[in-house]
Amino acid sequence: MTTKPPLSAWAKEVAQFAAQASLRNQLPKLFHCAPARNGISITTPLIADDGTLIQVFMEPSDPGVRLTDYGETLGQLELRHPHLASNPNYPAAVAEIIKGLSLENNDGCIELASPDPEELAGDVIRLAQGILQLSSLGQLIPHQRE
Amino acid sequence: MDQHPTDMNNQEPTVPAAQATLEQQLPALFKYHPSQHGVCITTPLKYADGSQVDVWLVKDQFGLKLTDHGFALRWLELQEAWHHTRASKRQQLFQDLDFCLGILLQKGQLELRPQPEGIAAGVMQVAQGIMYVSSLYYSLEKKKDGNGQPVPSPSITAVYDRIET
Repeated sequence: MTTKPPLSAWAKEVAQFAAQASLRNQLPKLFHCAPARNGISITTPLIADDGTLIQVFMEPSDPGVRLTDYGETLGQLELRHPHLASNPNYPAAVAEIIKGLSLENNDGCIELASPDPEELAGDVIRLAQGILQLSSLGQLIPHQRE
Repeated sequence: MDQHPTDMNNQEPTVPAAQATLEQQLPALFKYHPSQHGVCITTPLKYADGSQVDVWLVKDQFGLKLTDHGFALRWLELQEAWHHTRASKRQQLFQDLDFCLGILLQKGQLELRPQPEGIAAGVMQVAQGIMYVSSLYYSLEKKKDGNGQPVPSPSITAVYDRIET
């Protein structure tokens, strides 16, 4: 049986560096809010397969607020990859991603209804991850053979 | 006092309040703990099985490096259907990692060398790369059980158990 050696000095140096100097200061600057439509757009650092930064939108709802993509994810996906419509794996993959992240699909809009204000950042990242995974399906699901 | 995008009276969200809320909450979503070779950063992003994505910050003779220690690919290799995917298709998918995210696949590990001022962005890039690799799971034909339901994917913890970090 092998035992792990103790942390080396440089590992502790890196730990200290990471914890104190950079990440906690840098992370919030990667997310930008701006006015948009009926509420606010939040631009995340996650990159869609077309090279754009993924955005989620927040608007007032009853009660609280609602996070949504305004239907852009599936709309753009099906427009750019029309082969998906005829692939039986596509609806199953969409449903699996949405279920896996506890999101909702309301008439093609990927949403999180009434997110807890205490967990807004986590909900924004969760929705952004869903948008990211859905938008990559065009590349991942192949054209069906004739 | 904490700022929230809306107050208890359901006022409309404002940009400054939303930004302040995000800035306050975001750092707490990332957890840090020392590992044998550096720091393990647990991100809020998730694998297909619901496990949180970990990124390691390590230092070698060339400087700082962000890596997944090979977990993403090992996890994918646990999916039986992955072994039926053509090698050329695999190669093409991994080239997208470099082209789109600037992440290199070195000996089965995702790697990125960040500048000190770009570590947070690098962590998000590598985490996204890990997610991308794990998203390949959705392109696979799932093995079905006796009732025709997809067999759940092996957990990432099954990979953790096999690799010492």
